[in-house]
Amino acid sequence: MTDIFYSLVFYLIALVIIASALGVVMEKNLVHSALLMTACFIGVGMLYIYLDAEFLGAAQFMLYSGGVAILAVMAVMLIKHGDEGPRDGGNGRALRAIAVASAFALVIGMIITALPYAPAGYISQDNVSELAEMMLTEYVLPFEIAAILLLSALIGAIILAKGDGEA
Amino acid sequence: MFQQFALEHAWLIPLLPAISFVIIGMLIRSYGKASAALAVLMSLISFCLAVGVATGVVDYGITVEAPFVQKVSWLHVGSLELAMGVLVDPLTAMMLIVVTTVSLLVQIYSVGYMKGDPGYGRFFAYLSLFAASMLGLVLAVNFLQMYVFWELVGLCSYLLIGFYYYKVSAREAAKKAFITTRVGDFGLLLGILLLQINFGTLDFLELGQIIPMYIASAGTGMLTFIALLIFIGPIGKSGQFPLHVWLPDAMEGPTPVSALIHAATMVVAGVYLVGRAYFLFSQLPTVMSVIAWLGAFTAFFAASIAFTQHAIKRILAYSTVSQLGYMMLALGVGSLTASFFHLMTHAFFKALLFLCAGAVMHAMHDEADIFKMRGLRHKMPVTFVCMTIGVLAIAGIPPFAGFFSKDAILAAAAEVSMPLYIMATLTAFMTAFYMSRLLFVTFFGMPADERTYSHAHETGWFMRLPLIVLAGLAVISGLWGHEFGFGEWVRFGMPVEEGIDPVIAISSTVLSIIAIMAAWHIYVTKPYLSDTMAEKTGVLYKLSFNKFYIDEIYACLIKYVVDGTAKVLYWFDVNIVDGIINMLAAIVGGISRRLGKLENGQAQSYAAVFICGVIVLAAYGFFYSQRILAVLGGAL
Amino acid sequence: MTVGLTHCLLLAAVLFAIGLYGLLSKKSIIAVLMSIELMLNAVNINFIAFNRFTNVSDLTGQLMAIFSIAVGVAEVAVGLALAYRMFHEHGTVNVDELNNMKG
Repeated sequence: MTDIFYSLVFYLIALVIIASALGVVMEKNLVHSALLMTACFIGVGMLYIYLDAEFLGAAQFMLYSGGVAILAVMAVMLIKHGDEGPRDGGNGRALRAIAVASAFALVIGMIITALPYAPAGYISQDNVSELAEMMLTEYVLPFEIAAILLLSALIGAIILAKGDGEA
Repeated sequence: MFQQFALEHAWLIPLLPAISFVIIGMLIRSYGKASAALAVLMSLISFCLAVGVATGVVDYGITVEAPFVQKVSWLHVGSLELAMGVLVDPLTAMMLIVVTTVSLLVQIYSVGYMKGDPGYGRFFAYLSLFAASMLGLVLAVNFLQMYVFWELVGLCSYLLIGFYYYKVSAREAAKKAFITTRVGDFGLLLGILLLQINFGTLDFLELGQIIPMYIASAGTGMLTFIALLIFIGPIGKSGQFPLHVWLPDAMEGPTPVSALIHAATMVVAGVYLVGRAYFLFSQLPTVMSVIAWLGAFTAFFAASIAFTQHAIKRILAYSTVSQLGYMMLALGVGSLTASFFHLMTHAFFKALLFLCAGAVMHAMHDEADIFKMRGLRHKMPVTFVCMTIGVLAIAGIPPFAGFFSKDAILAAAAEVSMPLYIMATLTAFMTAFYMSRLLFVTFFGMPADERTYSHAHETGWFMRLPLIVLAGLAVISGLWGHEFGFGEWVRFGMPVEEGIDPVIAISSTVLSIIAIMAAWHIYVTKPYLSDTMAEKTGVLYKLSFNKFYIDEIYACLIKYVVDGTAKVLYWFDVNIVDGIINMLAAIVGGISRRLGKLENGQAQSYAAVFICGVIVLAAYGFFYSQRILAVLGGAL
Repeated sequence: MTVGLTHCLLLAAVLFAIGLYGLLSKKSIIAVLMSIELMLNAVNINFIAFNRFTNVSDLTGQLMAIFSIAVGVAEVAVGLALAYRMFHEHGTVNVDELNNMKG
């Protein structure tokens, strides 16, 4: 009974993710796209929690559903669009894109289903403190590098957005 | 003592002129007098050594059956062993004497003749190189060594014909000589290679022993082929028909060169080669008759051209071709002795004639046409006397040298074939006629041009001395050879008994005298007769005067055959070869134009292609490489 | 059937394919960037699923996902700044018109 419930939750989350993702690429209005993307990110965050990664779920909610989605909406708004508003009707090569994407899905799907897989698992007791310990001991160097990367991305974004003449 | 030394150091004979060439060429070329002195000195030492070798041959009883041989290993490649060395037998000794004598005399003559020429040192360097090459050729122990020197004398001939390289005609003549003789040399090379392949050796003595056994067991088919190929070399080098065309043109070179290379030494290299390889040729009757008939035809043919030529050196050149034909004829009818006897006497009297011609041209400011000279006997008595001796010698008047050698050839021909004898006798008659024509026109009659005539003068001592020495040799060498027993030494097989057949001797002498008298009658007593005769004989005169149009025929052949082939090949090149290339280029261009459309600058297209690549790789990994899957699975 | 690794991976593959479709078919650079974000999320799902369902003993996979999120966020920031800048320079955000790479 718990198993069935457990599975049902997964399929529900999967439905939310796929439906909103399809919405993102199908929707012509960019603002709608951005909102659907937020929904998709929330679904992904829920999946993280479902997979016992609570800290990542929280990070996903904050960073993606919060930061990135807002950034995207603001970008859409900052850029002046034509008469029909912020719309994207595709570049006229949708057929090719469908062919490539479905071929990709097909091949990857075959590989995934063919993978020899022995059920096993690892569930952390204290997700946050374990991640924190790893990040500040064994993975401290990548952590610092990520910090530098974020800083440079911040500066870079500012400079790019400001432009040369306005410096 | 000296003979012993000379024999053991026979290799010095070609080496000394070679050293002189290097020193002159590298160091003292610009000091003309020093160059000349060095060249003459080295030639003199070579000459002394050659005399030592020759007397040594006689004193130690070295014969053609028991030659004196020295060899050192030269090349050693796999199973191929090549030696270099000296082979001294009476043949060699005679050639050494002839070459060193003429070479020495011509060099002395050149001291006077080339005076004031800007290329004075260069000239003596070339002459030294030539002497070295020719002597090396004479001393060769095997075919390969001979071939090397054979090509070297060809090179010297090229360099010396083109000595006045600023003259177009000299350049053309040099190229013509080189290319024409190359045609022959190619045949020779093929023959030599076939010999090496078949017998595994090129050594003259070894081949001389192997070949009779080979013929006894395997017949003459292959050998006939080889011998004919080898004979193509002498055809080119010794100016036999149809490769004789270069020799008259070679007269563009300085006259001493003509005397040395194109009369006395290099052109007889072909005769010498046949004589040296006589163990091969004498076994093959077919080849022998080819040689005999070709020789006889060349002799007759060249003489008929010499009839009508006007340039003094050209007459002498055709006469040389004719006399070389004589030597070949003698070889072909099986008399090596007669051939080499004539080779020796011819070397002396033809060098004499050329040097006299040089003296005349020198005196006449390089005028070559004999009809513009005339009456020179008062101005140049010494040259006149020498020239007369030369003409009498070549005409075969006893007791001059040509009489004995020509008689030996006629006798040998008469023994084998009547047609050949008649042809040879006829040629002798013609020779006497055109040579006396040359003499009478040049030295008798009224001067054609008063001004040049008054400037004409006798030559200096440097030029006069060789003339006198050679004239002496032209008088005595025949008689001396006859008395000394030339045939006992220079021979192939049994010793030859020197005897004069009275019928042949008297008939040829009478014919020669008639010819000389006829020439006197036509050209001195009644000079107008010559023009009348030219008109009367019409076509024949024209044919002869234009050298039977051989050059024109060759030009035609080249025009139609070579140019035609070139046109066909050009068409092929333009349409087929270039067509294929252009088609390839068009295909590549077309493909790249189509591929270029992929490069549309759209990042999304690039991404699509990139993803397609990923998909293909993934599919490949999935379907064809279970190992990748196993590795992936192992990690899980 | 119990939810396991395969389900999660398939979900991620589908999400990635949808993002791929958007990447290849969209005209506006902002839409393209959003598609890329979908693909990044698919990758992160993979990290976490492998960490959850395979035979491991720590949270390296999650840690990788964290770094991946950091990089993704940085990318979005720079990418959107670029889009804004592009609009200023060229007056358009149509990717097809940015074909300076055309060969």
